[in-house]
Amino acid sequence: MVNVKLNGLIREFDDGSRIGPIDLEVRDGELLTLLGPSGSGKTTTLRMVAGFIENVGGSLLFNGKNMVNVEPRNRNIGMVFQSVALFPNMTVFENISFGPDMAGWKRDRTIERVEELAELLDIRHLLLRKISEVSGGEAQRVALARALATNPELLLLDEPLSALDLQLRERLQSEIRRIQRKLKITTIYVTHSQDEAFAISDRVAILDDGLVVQVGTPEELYDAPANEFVARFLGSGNVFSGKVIDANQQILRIEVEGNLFEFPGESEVGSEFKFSVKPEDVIISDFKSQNLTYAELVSITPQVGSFKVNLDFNGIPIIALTYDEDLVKRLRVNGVKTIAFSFKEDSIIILRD
Amino acid sequence: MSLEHRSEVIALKTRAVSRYAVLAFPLLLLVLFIMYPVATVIGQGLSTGTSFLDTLSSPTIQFTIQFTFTQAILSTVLAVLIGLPGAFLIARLQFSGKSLVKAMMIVPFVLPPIVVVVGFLQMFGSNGVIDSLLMWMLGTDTSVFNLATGVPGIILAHTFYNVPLVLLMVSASLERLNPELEESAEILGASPFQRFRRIILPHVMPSILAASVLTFMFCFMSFPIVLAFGQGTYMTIEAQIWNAFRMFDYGQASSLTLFQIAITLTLATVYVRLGRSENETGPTASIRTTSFHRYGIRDRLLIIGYLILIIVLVLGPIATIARAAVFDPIAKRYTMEGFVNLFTLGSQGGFNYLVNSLFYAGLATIFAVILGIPLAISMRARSKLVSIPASAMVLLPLGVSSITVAYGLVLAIAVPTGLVINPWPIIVVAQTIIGLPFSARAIEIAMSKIDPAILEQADSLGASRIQKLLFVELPLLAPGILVGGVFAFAMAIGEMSATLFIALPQNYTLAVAIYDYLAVRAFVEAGAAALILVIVCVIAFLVMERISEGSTGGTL
Repeated sequence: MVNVKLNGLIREFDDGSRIGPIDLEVRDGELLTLLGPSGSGKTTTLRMVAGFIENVGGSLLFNGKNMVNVEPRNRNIGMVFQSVALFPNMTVFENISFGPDMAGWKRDRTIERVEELAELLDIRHLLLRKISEVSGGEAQRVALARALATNPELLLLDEPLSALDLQLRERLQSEIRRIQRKLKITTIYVTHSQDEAFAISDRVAILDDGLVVQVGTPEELYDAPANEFVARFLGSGNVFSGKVIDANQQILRIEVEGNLFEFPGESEVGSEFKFSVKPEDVIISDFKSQNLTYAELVSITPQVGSFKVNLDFNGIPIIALTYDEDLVKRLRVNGVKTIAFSFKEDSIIILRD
Repeated sequence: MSLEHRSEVIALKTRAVSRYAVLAFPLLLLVLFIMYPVATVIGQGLSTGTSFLDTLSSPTIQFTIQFTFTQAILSTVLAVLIGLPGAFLIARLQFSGKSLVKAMMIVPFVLPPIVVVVGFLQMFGSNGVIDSLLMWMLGTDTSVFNLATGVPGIILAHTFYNVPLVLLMVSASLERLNPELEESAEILGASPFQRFRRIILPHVMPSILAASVLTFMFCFMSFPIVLAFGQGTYMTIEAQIWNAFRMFDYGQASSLTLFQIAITLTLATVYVRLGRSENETGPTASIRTTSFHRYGIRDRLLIIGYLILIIVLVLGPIATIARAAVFDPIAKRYTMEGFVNLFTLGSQGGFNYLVNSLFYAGLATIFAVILGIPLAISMRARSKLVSIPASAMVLLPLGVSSITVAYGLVLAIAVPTGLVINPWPIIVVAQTIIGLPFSARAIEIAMSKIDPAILEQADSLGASRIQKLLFVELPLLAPGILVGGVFAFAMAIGEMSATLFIALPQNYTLAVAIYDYLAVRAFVEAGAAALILVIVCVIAFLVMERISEGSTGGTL
């Protein structure tokens, strides 16, 4: 199919803000997700790849060929828009066959292709309906079929599921994943939902304030967020910042809010230091002992298979996961307000900034 | 049934009754002041005098009917042809002051037709601005150019009126087109022309049709413009109804009214249907616009040429009314006599007309606002029994012309009550009927913008019904009521057709006086009176803009 390279792609806006420079490679046949909060530049980046908005700098390569001056309709792209954007004055069939019609396909070939896609997406029964007569989930399938009709090399999906309810969204996520795998089509997917990104992607690129801050598989990002933004955005980390007091034999002693933490690492004495710990790596207990660190208990929320415990450590919120039902029961019955916490060994993630 | 339960049921019933009393109010007015008079007219048309068939088969009437249709069709085609490029420009061109330009499109609509006649005479007429310019260029003293007369005058003035309508309606529809639809088509390989034909055109078609039907109806029922430029030779059905009434041929007047209502109500129904047929295309967060410097040189020249055309055709007649007020085309000199006349007392002077205008329009505005509130409430009622007559009352001026209403009021109310001797209350009623749809609509829009949660909040805080109305709803509605009042005032003070029909000379308003002045070629007097009305309309427009923050167009 196609390998897409964004080299220093920049977009400037009238108000002076800008997106980029974006450097990113989408490998042949993979599904890469652009993930970030709203305003981070995901959709702008996608629309630069589609060619709807011009970039002021950088290059966009499809299999090494620069596409910057190629019209959107000559880029061989399929796209599903956030608003679905099905043509309301046409039937489902006419929507799907629009691309082949524009490309001047023979009628037989078009019909065959539409039926093939209808089969793949399970929308055969909808083909003769008007757009106003299909439901939200069905409309997404039709939009996907329409985008795929002319066998594009690259598929762009701009928050296609954001308007659907959770259950439907999850079903369509796996559907999109299945079809993308089957067709091995290079795909760029935009979403602001971490769950969706992790569920669907081969790799995820995290954007913040117009820049790509980290690219990796969902596991890589979760286990090793590169900086505070990623750690906080993915919700995978409790972020602590403190001062390095001692750095001897690759053991760091960090002071955070008057408490000392010790773990392996290297840094300069006296420098600011940030690290993160995943909720499942925070150990809590109701023991009282002098060399333990304490935090205020804020709340305990039961969830599937575990309890989420919110703590307040001198103003720093900490989330801990525990599976210890007895402990939770004791905490609740005794009305304990202050509990001890510590980190599992080797669980500290050092953050760059 | 327990005693407690019974009293509860009674309380509920009383509340329901009182609510229906408020809501039935507009229905009652509809029956008394519109349906009954119009029915009387039609009844009489069918039973007495010249019969319906005789009327329609008379050659003069057939010519009138033909002319009514022909001029309406020509005016509509012209308005659409001129309006469409502007609609695309407004929707797609990025420029500062866009919302002001859009808002100003409302001005011609509020401008009284008779004032437009004065503006047209001054812009396109003999010794007008264009004529004077040509005469100067040719070095001659005799008039060489006159479009403000006869059929060209009628059609041009109608075009002036309706170009802004086409512009507003079609550009609004274009702005509702989800830009992602066009992008979808683009990425699926459609060329700009294919995108226009397969995506844009199908989307805006209902709005083009709706604007056409509305334009056609306005031209079809046109009265002051036809009367002034047609000079008795060219008459619309509307003008002929007035003429027949003046000649005491009530049979013919009523028959023509019946014929006209049959056609306009059909068109109004088509219009209302069309209004619902636009496809919903999803959210339109980012309407795609292009700034002027992005266009090529050819496109830029086209845009500039188009703007000049619009300025000459639409802005020209309005701006030159100022000249009309001080330039006497017969004596070819500048004079203040027009204004002097306006403040001259007695039967020769215009002061009386000014007072009448303000008095009638003021009263009509008060009534239009007072009645507009229950009407607006009724329009929003859940029961169709209430909401349909209420909406009908607001839409009725679309289908029933002002001459018809005036004729009905005179025949059914003024004659039996003896008000024909001094029919000023009937004028106020007619002007109220003409202003009411605008006040009701403005208030209804304001009501629809109130978040129901706010009222529920007031409820939950223990406010009684009256408290809720006084302290929560009315303050929130105040801007809407004010806009409605101003709109109704502008419509009432500029009203000429019904007023001319009903008024005796002592009841003449400025608008009617302008027609009279024009007939006796007292051009500066007409010009000065027109300028006063323009100023009133512009002030009204500014007030509405200030209050409603640019959403005035919705009231149309």
